Amino acid sequence: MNALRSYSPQVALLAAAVMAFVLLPVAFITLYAFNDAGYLSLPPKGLTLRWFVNFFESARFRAALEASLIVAAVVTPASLLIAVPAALALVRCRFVGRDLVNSAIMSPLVVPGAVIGISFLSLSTRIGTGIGLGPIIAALACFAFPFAVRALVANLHGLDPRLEEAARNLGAPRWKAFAFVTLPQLRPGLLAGGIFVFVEAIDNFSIAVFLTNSRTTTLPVEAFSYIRDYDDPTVAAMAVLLMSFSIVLVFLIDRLVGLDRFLELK
Amino acid sequence: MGADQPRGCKLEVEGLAKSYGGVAAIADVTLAVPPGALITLLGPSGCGKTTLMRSIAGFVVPDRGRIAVDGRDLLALPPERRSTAMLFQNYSLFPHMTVEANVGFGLRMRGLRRAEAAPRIADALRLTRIAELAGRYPGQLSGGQQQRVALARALVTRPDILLLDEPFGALDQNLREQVQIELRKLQQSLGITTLVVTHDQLEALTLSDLVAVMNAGRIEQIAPPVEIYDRPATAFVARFMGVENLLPVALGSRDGATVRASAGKLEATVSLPREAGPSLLAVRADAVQLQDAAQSGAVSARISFATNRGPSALYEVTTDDGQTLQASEERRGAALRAVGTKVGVRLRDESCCLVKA
Amino acid sequence: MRARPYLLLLPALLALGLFAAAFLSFVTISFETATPGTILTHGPPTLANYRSVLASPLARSTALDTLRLAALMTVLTAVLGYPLAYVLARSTSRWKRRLVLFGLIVTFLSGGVTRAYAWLIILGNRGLINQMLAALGLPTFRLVHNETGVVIGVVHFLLPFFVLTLLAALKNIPLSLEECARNLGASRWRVFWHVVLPLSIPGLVSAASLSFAGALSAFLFPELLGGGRVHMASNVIFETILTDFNLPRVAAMAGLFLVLALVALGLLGALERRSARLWAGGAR
Repeated sequence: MNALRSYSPQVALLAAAVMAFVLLPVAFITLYAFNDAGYLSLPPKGLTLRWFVNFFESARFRAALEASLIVAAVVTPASLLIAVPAALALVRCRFVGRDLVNSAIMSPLVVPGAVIGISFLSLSTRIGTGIGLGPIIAALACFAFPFAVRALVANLHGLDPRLEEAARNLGAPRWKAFAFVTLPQLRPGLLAGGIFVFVEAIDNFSIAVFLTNSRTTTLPVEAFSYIRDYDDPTVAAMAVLLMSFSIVLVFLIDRLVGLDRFLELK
Repeated sequence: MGADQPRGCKLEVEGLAKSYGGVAAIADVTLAVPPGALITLLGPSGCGKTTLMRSIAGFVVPDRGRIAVDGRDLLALPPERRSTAMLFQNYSLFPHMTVEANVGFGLRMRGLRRAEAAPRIADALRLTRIAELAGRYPGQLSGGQQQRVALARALVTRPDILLLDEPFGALDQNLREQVQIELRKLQQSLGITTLVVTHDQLEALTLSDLVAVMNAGRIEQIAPPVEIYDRPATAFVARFMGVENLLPVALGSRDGATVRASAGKLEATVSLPREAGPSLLAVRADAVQLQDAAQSGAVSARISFATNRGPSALYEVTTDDGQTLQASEERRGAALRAVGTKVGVRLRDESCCLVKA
Repeated sequence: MRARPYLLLLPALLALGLFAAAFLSFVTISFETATPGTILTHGPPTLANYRSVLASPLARSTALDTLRLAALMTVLTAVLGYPLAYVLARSTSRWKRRLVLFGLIVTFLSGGVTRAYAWLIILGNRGLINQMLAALGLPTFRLVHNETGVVIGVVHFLLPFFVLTLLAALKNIPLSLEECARNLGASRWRVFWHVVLPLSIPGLVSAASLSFAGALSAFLFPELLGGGRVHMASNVIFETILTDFNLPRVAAMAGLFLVLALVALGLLGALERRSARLWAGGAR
């Protein structure tokens, strides 16, 4: 009984129900991945790590995991290297056509993934490279770097440019002022932007599916075709691995920048 | 608001307490405000004055105690059913509504028809002298105008109690004094019981019928402003009201209602303390009289610091028995006394009083 | 000194150039003709692909279905997401807030395939829900391989985006405005209706357009949960390229889909700017 609360108990209950809906798949898939039956059984039959073993023993999944990790390992730093100078230019410089450049950079975000997939498929057909990891990396980097720009721009807007002036007044050359004053303060933006890009690189399906073939596939695409061909919880095991990874990421975010700050940079 | 202006209501708070996580925000607060009076809750930030006001408005649910208006208990009512209009610190005008709609909001929530509400809105706008702003949005108004809108919005519902939370904090100094006087006149003419929260002692002295000085969740002293200024009850009140010197004293011979108090060699005859217990002698800087050299009855001292304050000079003097006190003196065109100069010091009895330590 | 911003932007402009090249090749291919038996194409420029796509009943019904489903998904997301965002914005309990944020961000980062697969198992004919219904002796429902499953999956996918976007807007509405309205005699519901909802409209529109964009380009969920019966634009494009390898025709479909998406999002963007401007005049 607190008159302070803005919402009634009914609304709180509704919100809790929605939250339960949000968490249901995550909770369920975890149980399913450890269930010692090849199908859904209620109650669960017993615990097993069989499906995890299955995942790692499958040559297809191993190859796909490797491909996805390579893609993420290239796309994430590449996107940040593109995004940091771009964000600096957009926030710290006045120049002709700034708004135009800004909308141009953000434009890949409004294009549906399938259209981007078709575009890069067309490009690789046109120049004759064929599909594979290279085009996937190029397409995902082009698609994902705006996320990093957005996070860094939000971060930079919150910084005081006079700090860099103070550093230069104290005798630091321009690059040192940037490296020792501004860059450390960009950690939240780098982390948030890096995580968005990384997750997109690991999880992207809609672009990658157009650029993979039977020899080269990424994890989501492989999981997709596995679900179509087989009916066992191996994909659930993969899902649990990915989710554990994202839980680690969230803890990391919370430790390094705080969840609230992270959301401001979304 | 014409003939049917609200008659003032009596506000009573009894034994009110609220703590957050074991820390008391207000502890056992009791006060009574007579109908039509203006009371100021004065104190530093964190003293509990805002919690007390928000309890009356219904935004804080106290742990214990009672709040009543004209004998009717308020605590059982949700905020929207208490007739306690509040002027929020930053005015909290609804940015998506015109001035007119802002002022009319309370009437609309009480289910008044447009035709009934319109003349009351017009009255309130006229009373606060912002009739010409009716169609504007809050974003288009100056700080002073916003304050008037917020005041009109609070008054239009003819509340039993008007609550003002740091009402002048967002105004600049010149405007502030003018608006304070205007508000006081309006409050007196409407006869509406009003509670003001502020940390500004001058504001409290200017506005109030009663001042309640709060410290650490308790009321230290509740009295008319002149008494608070002249005869602070406790060392905290004295310090908050700007008393420069609080001297440890020994009490000597009593003579009727007065007593001889001596702080080292310095002496003053003052009224008896209200309560038993250790006391300090509160001496304002202007109650410390300086003489050119030690004459009879004066304690010899030396100027240890001097600074100019426009019409007066402020000194720090150290007596021969090692007490340091601040003294101020009107300059009357003279130069400052030089640091190191020997002077005689005596206390003006009528400007000193004993306060609870 | 003048060249500095452009120098800083160089990597981004190169990436955009690559994107533009991809875009250009897809647009030009959409005006060409497929060389039978290969993925290759040849000229001369023709409008035949567009003509045949526009004439196809499947393409037309897909466009309508995509818009209809995206609108439905957006509305459901908003209806479910608003209360959660509001409670999150106004909750006084720190640990509850953190727990919900944690859950939302984990879900948000845990990826599409994971969630689509989970829904497939939960909603399947012998899935969690139907097994529970059967155990209680109740009739079972067909929840996947139809629009129901797709809508549930996509709404679930969109909820974290929606809630986190709206949350930012709701937190910008000062609590004192709500208190002030209560003080002036408004009940909780009327505070919501007269103060919170109107002030949250710019944020609501922006969260909804984000969700609508996500719903329009939904691909994995209709593909996995629709069982070939739910035709949304991305799926039809994907299935067409799988079955007949006619890149020019698929490019034309994708081009038309892009135009559709951009027009829809452009309209929402205009609405967003309008609502933001409306309130900007009043913001302090």
